Amino acid sequence: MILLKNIKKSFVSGLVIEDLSLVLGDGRTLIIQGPSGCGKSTLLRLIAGIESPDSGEIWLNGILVSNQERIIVPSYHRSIGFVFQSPSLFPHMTVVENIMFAMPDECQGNHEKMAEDLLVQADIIHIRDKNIHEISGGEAQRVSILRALAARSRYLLLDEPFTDLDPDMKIRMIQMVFGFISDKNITTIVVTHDREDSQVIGELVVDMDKNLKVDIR
Amino acid sequence: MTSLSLFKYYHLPYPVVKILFHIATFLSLLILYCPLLGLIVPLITGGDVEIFNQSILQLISPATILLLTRSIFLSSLSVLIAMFIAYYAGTWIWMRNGTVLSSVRWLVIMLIPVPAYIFALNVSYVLSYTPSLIKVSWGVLSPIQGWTISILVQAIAFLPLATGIVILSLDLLDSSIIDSARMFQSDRCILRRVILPLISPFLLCGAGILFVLSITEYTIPSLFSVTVYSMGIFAAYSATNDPASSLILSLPILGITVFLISWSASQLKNTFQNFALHSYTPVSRFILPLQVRLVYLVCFLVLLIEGFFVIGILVWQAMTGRGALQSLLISSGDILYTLQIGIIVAVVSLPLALIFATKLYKREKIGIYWILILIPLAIPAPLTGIGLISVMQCLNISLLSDSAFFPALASITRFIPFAALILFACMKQINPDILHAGQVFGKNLWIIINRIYLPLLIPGLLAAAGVMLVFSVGELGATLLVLPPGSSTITIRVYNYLHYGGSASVAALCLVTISIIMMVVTTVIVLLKREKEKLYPGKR
Repeated sequence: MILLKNIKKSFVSGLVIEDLSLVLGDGRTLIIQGPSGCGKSTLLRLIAGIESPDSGEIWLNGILVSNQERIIVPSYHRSIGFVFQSPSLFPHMTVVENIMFAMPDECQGNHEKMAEDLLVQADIIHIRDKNIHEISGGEAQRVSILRALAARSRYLLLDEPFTDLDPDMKIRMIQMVFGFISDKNITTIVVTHDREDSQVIGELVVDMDKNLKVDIR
Repeated sequence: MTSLSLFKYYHLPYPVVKILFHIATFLSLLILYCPLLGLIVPLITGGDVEIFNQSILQLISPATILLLTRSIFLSSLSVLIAMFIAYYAGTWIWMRNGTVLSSVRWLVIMLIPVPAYIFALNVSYVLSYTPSLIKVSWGVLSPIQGWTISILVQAIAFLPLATGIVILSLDLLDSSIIDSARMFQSDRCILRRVILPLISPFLLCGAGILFVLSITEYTIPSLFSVTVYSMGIFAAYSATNDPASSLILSLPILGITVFLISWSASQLKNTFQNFALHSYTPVSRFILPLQVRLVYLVCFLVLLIEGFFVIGILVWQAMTGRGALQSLLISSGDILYTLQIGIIVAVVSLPLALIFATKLYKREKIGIYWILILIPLAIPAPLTGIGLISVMQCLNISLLSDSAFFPALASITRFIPFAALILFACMKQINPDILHAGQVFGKNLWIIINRIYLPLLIPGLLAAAGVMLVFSVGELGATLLVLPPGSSTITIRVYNYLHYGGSASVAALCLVTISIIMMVVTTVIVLLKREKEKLYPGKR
């Protein structure tokens, strides 16, 4: 379960989140939509441990992971898969290495096969051994999504994941990602500014607000 | 599926990692501030009261105030001259990006680490053949000795670094801003009203750092029989053998430099935050009026001539004088010893610089870390040496004092802020979300450091190691004091030869120094280009 209690976060530019509380039960999916700059990405970064809240508490699976200006459990121990707004792939690794990097140790020995399976599903097996600078923006976005899925994490945070994809590929990737999520019972938050995306995904949608209150158990 | 329960058996818990990082930072700061502590501790624990009182009296004496004023004047003027020429020469090179002329930037990079005294020696050599000519044109001034020539030579010595700063600031400009501005106004107007204001924080910061380097440097003035304030500190220590008195005497210089460094740090912070990451190649040639073009061209030629002049005079001296080969053979041990120190400096500096750069990166908005890490630049070279001697005496560590450890430590404490800044700049070039992705997907801290952070930082690590190595090769002021008996570096050997007059020997050793520097710089540039091409293809 993801639990956020009275979160406040501000930057030099101003207050982004004032008093946000959120409960998201295991295996549930939530879509948060809203215009650019309303704090959607900040919310995901707080849950992932990339930012710490000014006040409030963040709990994951019953463990307090962040509280007032403090990261208690670092990102790499939160069991999170994250798709960043920009693909943010590791430039010194190939496509397959990027995906394998995120895989858990339990799958050792199977890493390459699993990565190839994911690449086949996303229709980009042909770029398996390419360097990151050799692939297109859309391909990079798909690799970024695959890397997050490969992490086999308990939680999945998707920040505008389908923005760079063409309409056909967008639908295909949405089907793939949400099929995977329901198979593995992953608790997921998707943020998007595109209302069409929300409709296509068809899950529970809320509008981002500085004082958002959500309880989905 | 991984879960939070993994937390308990994955290596070190996060709070422990944080504590370890704090301890590592504290130890690194202890090393960095080792010379300053060596000066402050004897002062607090009670030195000789009489010497203390004398130092205070000396500090407020008219002679000291006059010397300080003249030293500030010398440094200000030489920095102004260097920055003026550098602005025009650097801009000229930058405007010709993508043409053969832009390759002069490599000459600039090669010249930056050449020790200042080599420029001074060359000028002395040339002037020694033309005294009458200079006397006629300069009237009663004695051209080979004195303040005027010191100012000019100091300006020449800092010109490559100043030009490097100008080119770097221009390279960091966002090309789209320049291209869009060029659509509305003439190139002359763009240079004056768009480019100059944009790079001015960087230039001011560069001028501040140059001033600090200039006011803490005494080798050039001492070669032209001019006593400057930092030389006075060295002389006071020789007379009293009391580190506390040196510290008291250096207080005004420390005050000025700390102020300048704090100010430069704020400029630097803003600069790193606002600038783009890729260099600019003009879509069309800059068109400027003839008289403006002439100013650019003359400054560019001054730089070009200086580059060839440095090497040319030394080669000429070494080939025409006597004893060059013999001196090289005698000094082979010194060359190896210098390299040994340089390698120790490069290797030891990297983890320390990495810790400092990480601290700057994580606490970028907190000015105190900037000041804390940059302050050692403000300590004059002799004061670093005196502080280290004091530490040696306090801790009674004679075993280490006989090794290359202390000369290496002298260079590390003097130059590590540069390495930290290079690594910080490298960190800023990496998309932060790539580092965040490493943080999210890495299974433990070791994997994140080993497989994400370090590979991405290779360009910065290479550059930092290269800078530390070449700076340590040319270091004189502090090494002179902490060198174990019976050992010598190339720079010290040159300094000694100067007193016995062997111009051919001096030239040969200077050429060795420059060759080492150029080999290191070339290797670093080649490796850097390869690494950057791997990480950021298509970007220079």
